[in-house]
Formats: sequence, structure tokens, C-alpha cells
Amino acid sequence: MNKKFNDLLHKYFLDCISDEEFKEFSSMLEENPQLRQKYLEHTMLDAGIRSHSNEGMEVVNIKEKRNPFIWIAAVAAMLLCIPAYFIFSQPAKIAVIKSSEYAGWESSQSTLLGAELESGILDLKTGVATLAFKSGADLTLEAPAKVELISDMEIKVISGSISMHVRESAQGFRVNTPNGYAIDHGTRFSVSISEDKKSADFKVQEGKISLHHDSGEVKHLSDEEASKMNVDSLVAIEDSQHEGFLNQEPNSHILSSIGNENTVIVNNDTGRVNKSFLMVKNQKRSDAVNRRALFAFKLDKLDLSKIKNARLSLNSIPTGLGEVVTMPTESTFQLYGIPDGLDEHWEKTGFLKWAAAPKIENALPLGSFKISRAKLRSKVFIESEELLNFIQFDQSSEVGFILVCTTPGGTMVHGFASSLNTEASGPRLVLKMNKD
Amino acid sequence: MNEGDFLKLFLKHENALRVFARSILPSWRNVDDVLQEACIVMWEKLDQLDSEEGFFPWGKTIIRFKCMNLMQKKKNERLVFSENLMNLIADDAEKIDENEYAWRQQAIGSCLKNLSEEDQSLVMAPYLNHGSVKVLASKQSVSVNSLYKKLGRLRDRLLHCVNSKRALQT
Repeated sequence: MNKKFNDLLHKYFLDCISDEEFKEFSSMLEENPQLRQKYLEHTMLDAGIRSHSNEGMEVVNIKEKRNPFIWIAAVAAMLLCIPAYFIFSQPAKIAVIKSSEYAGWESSQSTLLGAELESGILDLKTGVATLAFKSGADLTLEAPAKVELISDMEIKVISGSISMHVRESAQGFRVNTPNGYAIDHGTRFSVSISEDKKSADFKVQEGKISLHHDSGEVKHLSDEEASKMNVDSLVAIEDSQHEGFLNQEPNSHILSSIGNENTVIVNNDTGRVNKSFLMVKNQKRSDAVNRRALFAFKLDKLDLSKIKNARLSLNSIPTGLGEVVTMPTESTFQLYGIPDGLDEHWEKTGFLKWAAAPKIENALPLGSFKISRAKLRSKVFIESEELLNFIQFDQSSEVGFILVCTTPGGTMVHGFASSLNTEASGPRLVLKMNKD
Repeated sequence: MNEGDFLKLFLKHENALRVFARSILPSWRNVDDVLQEACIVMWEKLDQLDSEEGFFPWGKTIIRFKCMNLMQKKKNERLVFSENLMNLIADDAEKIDENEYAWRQQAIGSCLKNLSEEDQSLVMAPYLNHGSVKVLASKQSVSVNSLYKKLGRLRDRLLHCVNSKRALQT
């Protein structure tokens, strides 16, 4: 019992205890006062070792040194009520943001150009950025990429692609990935984590790295060589051009709704709709100029029973109508399926009156998505059980959809590219079929 | 009492107050937060204090309160003890005499010198840089796990050394 407690105790103080182990540790502490005494002894031990290691780093323990300059600084700190120990033991800064190209980050630390970074997780959402580590290594990230900075000689790549330039002073730099790590021996190399986050591709442009798989397998890579680190092993990549390959998708049909698109507006003002856009609007103040979009795809000659996957894609683009700032930060859109029968007889090319359009009340909800007012240019994908079923059970060789906005907002008119838009492509329905 | 006097008094007891806080909180970073807040409260409520001798027990009460407050907000995070356990630990920790903290600190210093230089670096590694133990492991070409086990044994040795010195004292 004591050996187990001792084990957990060390894991706790060395910061490598799992959640399960912590639960066990806590209950042992709650039940046994003697174990609590042991715990307190170790807390004091931890504190003691910590302060001795800080002295080793030339951090001043005010009680023991009498340097007047430090004393004055400490008084100043006190007036701001910062414990003197605190001003000397800041978390270490390990890297600096060296360059930033259209970079958009999600991080709890400042990510301005020149910002100094501590250990922690950084998530690059857009653009490309380079970090310079204090040790002499440079890390370039291409969005979307997520890395954990561990120290000035170690990182973990969680997702996405990065490239490293490691100078002599930083040799030994370690890059961790899902199944193992790479140690750099003076190079330029890149690491790319697969979409399922289960494997990593390493490519050396110049220099040498060694790959260490969790299973113990080790491999050395030099100039122009590449290797993949899978769940079970290291596999050589025979792609001397380092381009990668695109998967060709056999057995898929891509349908367009061209010729079957329309926007309806409550007050039937034709001047307010435009064939380049599928417009949607839900205004809080008054519904006079509210709009809905309709579009349909023809399914002639397709064997619906063979469809295994269906995905609808739309391109959200700004219409330029109304004001973005009057909108809530995010709006939710709902896609409905128009049922077979009379509802499908709507005007597909000319003017369609609001009252003549298929009603939501009769339609099937198939899925929803959100669009941020700050990011009106974005691709929308809808893929759901309901969408797949709706298509598979169609009897009329036509599947039609209604798109509405369910978030009441301000004056802005939401837009999605229609098939007649010159800037972006219109609605697409991609159907993947089972092989015969 | 002026700021200078308060500073001296606070710094005299700061280390012991930090250790007290650490026994209740999950990490040293939380200790920094609590000490900072508690310090402000102590300065503001200084008139409550009767004498210098009473500073440490009074400080502990303020710190205990701030710890429980902070942990209430963080109760869904990892490695947070239950409120009951925190109270049990705080009750036990309050009984520790202040001199005990300072004495142990010194004893640890001399016990550390009993270790080889290599072992000393290993023992200090977890406090230097997040991830230092991993760097050491790769430099020595051993697994991180085995280093952690060795660390555990070294810490036990240190505690044993400190406790023996303690026994000799009484």
C-alpha cells in the first residue's frame, strides 16, 4: 500500500500523474492522515529542491543577499504588491515570433511580431509564421497547424505542417509527433501530421535527423530523404520530388444546380434579388425584405441505391448589401429538403413569388451550419444522415433544397454563390457511389 | 507600520507561506497567483494584526481562504483536490511550526550536496525548464520513464536524509 502511495506521490510532484492515478492518490490522502503527513513532508521537500535549483540559476533569495539595488527593486515591487520572489521567477521565454504572413493565431499568449513566447500550445489558424527559438532553431508553421512549445529545445507537433531550420547551437532539438520523435542533427526538415493525426511524414531538405519510433525503431534520414512514422513503424517514402500525391476519386458524381436556382423575398421586390447570388436574410426589426434561397439538383440516370455518401457544398460570399456591423457575430443557417410532389413545382428560372415558393412547414430539416460575420468568404459543407436519406429515397429524380437563416439579425443580406456567379462556384452536390 | 516594515515582515515569512499554499494547490503557478492576491489583502488589512509574532498564523488564514476561493473556480480542472481533502490538508498543514519550513530548507541544501553532481542535476532538472527531464533522457540515451523512476528514488533518499537529521536534532 505504501509503495503504491509512494509511486503516486512521486508522479504527482513530477507532474506525470494520470487522471485515474490522481483519483486514487486523492482517496488515499482523504482516508489516511499518516499519508497526508507524508504528502506534507514531500511538499516541503519539493519546495526546498525548487528553491535550491533557482539559486543554481542565480535567482536571488532576498533573505540571503543584501544587494541594495535588489532591495530597492523589491520595495518597488512590494508597493505594487508583487511578491519579490515572483518578479525573479517568471516562466521562461523560449521563443520569439520572427515573422508573420497573414497569420491568425488562437493562443493565450500575445502573438504580435516580436512577441516572446513561453511554453504552451499555439494554434495557427491562417497564414504562415516563423518562430525563432532562443536555442537557435527556427520553426515555420503553415496554417492550419497546432504545436506545443515545450522548451527552447523541444516541441510537439499536434496537427498540420511545420518546417524547421536548426542551427548548430540547437543541435539535438527534438520534435515530438503522435508516434515518436525526431532529433535534429543540424538541418532543414519538415514534418506533416496526417489528417487523422495518427501518422507523421518527415522530409529532410538538408542535413540529418534521426527518427525514434515509440516502438524503439530508429532511422536516420539525410538530404532529400523522407520517411513516414506510422502507429507501428517507420516507413520509407519513395517520392524524390517531395510533392505527395492527390487521391483520384473514382465512382463519384458531382452535380450542379445550374438552371434550378432562385431567391424569394417577402415583399416580392424583384430589384432586391440578383441572379449571381442565392440570398438569405432574417431581419429582426421587420421581415419585409427577408429572403430564402432555393436550389435543386437533377438525379436522372443515377442508381440511388448505390449512393454511400452525399455532401453538399456552398460558397458563402459577401453580397455587399446591408451592414456587417449590425449583425450578430455568428448566424445559423438551416437547410431543408423539399418533399416529392407538388412542392417541387416551383419556378426554377424566372421570378418566383414568396407565396408560391415551397413552405418550410412541409420540408425536412437536413442540417445546419454557422457563418461568422467576420468571415463571410468561406466554404460550407453539409454532410448528414438526413441529407443522405433524403437523396436515397427520392422518387422524382430531383432533390430540392430551401436555405434559411434562423438567427434574427440586422440589415446585412447573406449571400451564397449561385451557378451564375463569376467569383465563386455555385452549389455542388457530390455523391460517392459504392463500387459495383 | 510603513511599507518597508511590511515588506521585511512579509519576506521573512514568504517561503513558509508559499509551501503552505502549495500543499493545498495543484501547482506552483497557482501559488504565485494566490500569494500575489493574499499579499494585497495582508497589506490592506494590516491593522487587524496585533503583533509581529502573529503574522504567520494570520497570513496562513488569509492564504487558506484565497486558495479555497481559487480552487472553487478551478474545480473542474485536472489535479484539483476535493474541498473536503483541501480542508483536511490545510488543517494538517496549519499545525506545522514555521521553523520547520526554514529548517528543512537548509537541511535539503546540505543533503543535496551528498549526491553526486550528476544526481544533483537530475534532481534539479524538473524545476529548470518544462521538458528538461526529456532532454536529459535523450542526452543519456535512456527512456524518460526510467529517469522518472530514478528521480523518485533520489527524492526518497533526500527525504530520508532530511528526516534523519531531524531525528538527530530532537
